[in-house]
Amino acid sequence: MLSRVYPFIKITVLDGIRNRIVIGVIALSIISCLANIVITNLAAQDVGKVAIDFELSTFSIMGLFVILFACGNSLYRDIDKKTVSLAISRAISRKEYILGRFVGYLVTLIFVSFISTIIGLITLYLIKFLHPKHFEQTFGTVILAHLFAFIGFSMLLTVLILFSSLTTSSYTAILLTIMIYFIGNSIGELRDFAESLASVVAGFPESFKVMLRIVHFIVPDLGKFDLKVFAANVLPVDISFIVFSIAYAVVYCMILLLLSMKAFEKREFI
Amino acid sequence: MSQILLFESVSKTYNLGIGKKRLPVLFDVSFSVNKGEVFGFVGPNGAGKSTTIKLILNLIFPDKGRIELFGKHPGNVEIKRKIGYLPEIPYYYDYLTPYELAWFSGKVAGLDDVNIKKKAEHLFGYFLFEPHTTKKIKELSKGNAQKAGIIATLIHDPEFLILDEPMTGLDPIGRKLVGDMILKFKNEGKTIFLTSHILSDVERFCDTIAIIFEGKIKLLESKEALLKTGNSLEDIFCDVIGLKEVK
Amino acid sequence: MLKLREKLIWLLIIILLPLNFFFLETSRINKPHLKEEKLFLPEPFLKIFAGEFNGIIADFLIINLSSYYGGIIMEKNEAVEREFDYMYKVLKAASTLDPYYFDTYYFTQTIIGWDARKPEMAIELLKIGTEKRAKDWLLPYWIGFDYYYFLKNKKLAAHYFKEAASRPGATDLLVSMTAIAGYEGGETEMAILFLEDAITRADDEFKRRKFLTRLDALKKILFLEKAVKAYEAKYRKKPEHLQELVIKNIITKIPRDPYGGEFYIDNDGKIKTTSNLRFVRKK
Repeated sequence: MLSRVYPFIKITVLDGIRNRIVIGVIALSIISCLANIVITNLAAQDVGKVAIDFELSTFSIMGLFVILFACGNSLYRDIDKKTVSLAISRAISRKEYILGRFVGYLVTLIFVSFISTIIGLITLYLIKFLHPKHFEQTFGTVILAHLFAFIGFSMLLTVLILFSSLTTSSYTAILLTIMIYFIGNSIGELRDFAESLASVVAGFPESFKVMLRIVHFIVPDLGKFDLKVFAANVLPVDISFIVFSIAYAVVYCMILLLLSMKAFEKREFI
Repeated sequence: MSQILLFESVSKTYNLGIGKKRLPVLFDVSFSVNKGEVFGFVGPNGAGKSTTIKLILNLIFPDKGRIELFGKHPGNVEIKRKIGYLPEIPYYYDYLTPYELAWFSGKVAGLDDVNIKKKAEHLFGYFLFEPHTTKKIKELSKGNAQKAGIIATLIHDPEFLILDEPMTGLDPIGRKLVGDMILKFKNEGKTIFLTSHILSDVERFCDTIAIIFEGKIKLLESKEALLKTGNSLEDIFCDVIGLKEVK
Repeated sequence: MLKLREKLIWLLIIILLPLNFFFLETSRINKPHLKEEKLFLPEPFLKIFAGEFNGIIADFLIINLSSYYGGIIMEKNEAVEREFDYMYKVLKAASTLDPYYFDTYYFTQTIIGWDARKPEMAIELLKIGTEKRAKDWLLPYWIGFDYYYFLKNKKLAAHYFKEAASRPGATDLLVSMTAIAGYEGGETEMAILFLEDAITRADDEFKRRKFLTRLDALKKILFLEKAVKAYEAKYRKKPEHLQELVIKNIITKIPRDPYGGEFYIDNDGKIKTTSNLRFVRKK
């Protein structure tokens, strides 16, 4: 099976990396590097916090763009323009198609994330050099934050793949993925907020709490992988948190990919 | 294994999404293709040719009836190595070069890199195509893109070729090359299933001809038998689909 | 054979689902409440960056502010100077982004005006709101109140009360306000009226409780003020200690300060409390 999936992964990666979006995103990284330097000149006190926040935010946007527009574009060509038949008509099973696409896109994401991280770190070093007195942060947590953001991307990627295997238009899949992105980022805090409110306010509807718990279970908890606060303020991150979060991401991705394979098995390509 | 493809009472209806109509496309279609045969599938637009090909490739599933490919279910992945499929509309992986597309096709079929390189060079040469062009497929002309697709289809030396309107978009040289290739295949004892609008092509290449109209097989005869009637294929075709002479 | 593999996938999914739940719950963390809020809101660029999203961003800022302050109160009942400064910055940004948004001014009055005891800063923002929200009587009323109660500036208070009274929907409250503003020593009653109105507006338990506590304290102060007046009428001087009111049987006992302090009468004869209407700070 591997011998069949590997060539498919390779062309997915080639297809992805050569996509104009990827070039655009890397250009975006460089532009935001310059913007970061300019803006931090305006920041009064904690230059480090502003710089790190800005860099990590750009990184997140970059990941989102790659998923929605590079991977999304590739899936658009597959689904809407029917190039999926090129793979399915060959000796690639439907399951292998899903797996191949996922790994291929993941490698593309790794590639872009790596370059973006390097550019980002160079930027931060530069800014630190320019403002030594107001930049106390060290970069260990920053790197961790990049890694976690990347893990968040992977989860969102599986969401896109699942929707693509279910809908007949990649436009719908992309819109739904965007929606899940927003929900996923806020569901953790929303649930915390509701639970803290429930402990204070009498008569808080239990059903509301339960509903939030269900949504929290289904939707990827992307907020968990947003470590900007920790990176910008060099706060300690629990090892157990890291381990369990990664385990969560792995399990979640597996579930979604399996569901995608299932959905794809039954799919007809008219 | 002498019977390559079997369609037994196959019917198919499309579900056009939630709340939309169901569209029946094939009714009780039956035919078979034997080894070494060149089978021509002819019909007007919307008759069900593409649907038939999609059923063979397991892109869609039949509602009724049975399909066998090399004696097995069309969903079987291994037998796909023996098939070469050339789609009608040349959409390919835009950002790949022709060589990469051929490499992909060969690798998936189980060839190793050395073999692929050899065969690719041979095929690229045959089609008068520059093998190491760095141009991506989306930058090629339609005809060249089609050629790249054809090369990718043939690279693994399939036993069974499925060609959906293979002459689309080709210039006269291209048509000659593809035509000669089909005849070469035939001589090597390979099996071909092709659909076409161009009746002269069908007449030229095919051993067996089936005419499909409105989802049903109206005619299924060997070429010899048809020609014995003395009528041209065009006349027979118009007759079958009920098209009256323009006086 | 095929059937077995199909079932395998479902089996795998079923096994993974509870794992998903397990890892999700064990990796929950509370994002830390940052003790030092160094918020960076570049004033001149704010509206430009926000573009068409200025309204939503203002909404977000206020919602976050609300839960931020709520968290502080839950944790230690009172915010410190730095935290008030941060909240003021946020409110200022929100009013820049969307000067028509009511909640900004509501929080300005309650947090900056009352809790932080910075009426001038509150008034600065409220003035923006008064101008933009031309049909809103509450904002000029609050400005008037702040001038009267906190800044003891009766003239400006009267000006703003008048402005408030001229706007649609102004309640009779303002009539009483203007009346009380007229005579000396009316601050406590003014404050009580203000609080009673605020309590009807409070939409959650938290705020209601806060206001009720304060109302309780003020009512007790009013009670003591009236007692002092009665004492003065009888003995032609103010009592030196509140105990005298009990001794002379004007009141049966000195009421308890809900904030944990003690009521006393100062040298000017005003009723004060050692708690200063703030909860005695938890260590």
